[in-house]
Amino acid sequence: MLPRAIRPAAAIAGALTLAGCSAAGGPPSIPIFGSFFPAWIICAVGGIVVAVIIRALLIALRIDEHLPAPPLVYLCLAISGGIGFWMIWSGVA
Amino acid sequence: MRAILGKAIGYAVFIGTAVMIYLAWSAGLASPRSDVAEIEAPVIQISSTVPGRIISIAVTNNDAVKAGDILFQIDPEPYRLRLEQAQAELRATQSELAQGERNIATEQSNADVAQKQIERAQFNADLARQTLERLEPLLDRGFVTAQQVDQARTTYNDSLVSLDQALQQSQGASQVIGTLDTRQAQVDTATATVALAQRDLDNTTVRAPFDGIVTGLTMPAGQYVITGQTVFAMIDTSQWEAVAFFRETELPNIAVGDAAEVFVMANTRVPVRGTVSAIGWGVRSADAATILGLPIVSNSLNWVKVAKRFPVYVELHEPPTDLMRVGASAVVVIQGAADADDDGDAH
Repeated sequence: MLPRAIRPAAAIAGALTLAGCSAAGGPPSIPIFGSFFPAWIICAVGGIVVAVIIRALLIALRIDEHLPAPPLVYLCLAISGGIGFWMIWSGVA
Repeated sequence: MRAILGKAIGYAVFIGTAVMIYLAWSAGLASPRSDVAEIEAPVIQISSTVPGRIISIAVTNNDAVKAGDILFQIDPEPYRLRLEQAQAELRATQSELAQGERNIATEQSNADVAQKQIERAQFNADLARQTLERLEPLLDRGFVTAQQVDQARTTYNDSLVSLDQALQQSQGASQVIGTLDTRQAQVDTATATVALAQRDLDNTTVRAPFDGIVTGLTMPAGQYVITGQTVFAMIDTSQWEAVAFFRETELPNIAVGDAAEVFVMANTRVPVRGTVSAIGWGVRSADAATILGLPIVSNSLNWVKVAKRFPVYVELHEPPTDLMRVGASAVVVIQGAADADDDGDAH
């Protein structure tokens, strides 16, 4: 059994790997330490993490300096990453 | 090269984000979800129909019971005695009824005797009349004396009076014959009293009205309870439902009969299938109240108003019994008007 604290992260990872094959969605709320957090908050955090990783990647590839309006691009990346996680988690995608 | 790639990536991200927002928005519209939901079941207060002292309680708190199982027993002794009393009264009235039948038989035979008396008086009168008619023509020719004719006439008149008397007597004897109505009504009353006493005696044993769970039972046996006094409550385990509170703006996308998925927060890995059975038609307003005919309206109302929430009732299909607790937190996802296997992404 996984420790409680990393269960949501593991669940998201599981949802990612299962993307496309599982039709049924997960619950829209996730219990963490006795409180129920909306799944979209965790997905939004995941989106920000994705944006940070992609930013590091783009800087390493030296594409970052050529982006039009970089803050807006990374904001959009965070938003669409979060929405992507949410759609996979809730079984919409 | 990198400049072109950078621009391409940037604009692709903008367009992609717009598409993702649209998809997420329409998905949310097609399958509204509420994380403010509770598991509910009908709960009734178990009480005794007849007052008395509880002499034994057959169940313990949180027991699962079947319909018809004995829950507790009221002291039946007073009710048994009352039943015996009623039965004795019934026997008394039945005996009264039999006595009444015998009385009527006697009165009937009296009336028959009186009827026969009429016939006798009639015969006597006929005889007296014939005697008189025979004697009268003989008087002119001197074969009989006037004395004899007068005597015959007197006898005839006397027999007419006797006939009259017999008629009146018979009439009186017939009128005297009573009816059994009163005694029969008394028997009926006593029968009903026995039935009531029997019912009260039966009601001293309180049984489960349906399959359910005993809850809130804290008292031991020995308590005196009056009619209608709650002893404990019972949860009807055959009718679990989830009550989800949806924003009023989401209600147009929910219809009675829609499939729904309910996640009980105790174990979100077991989604429970359900069907929307009803949508609430009213909630109490916090902004306005009416006292003594005039509305009380708050002067300071918010510029930005929060959408009201209305209860949506979701009937659960084969819910896992270990997750079903009244008041448990749950999350409800409405999956649209399609059948239960639909993903809900059709819109």
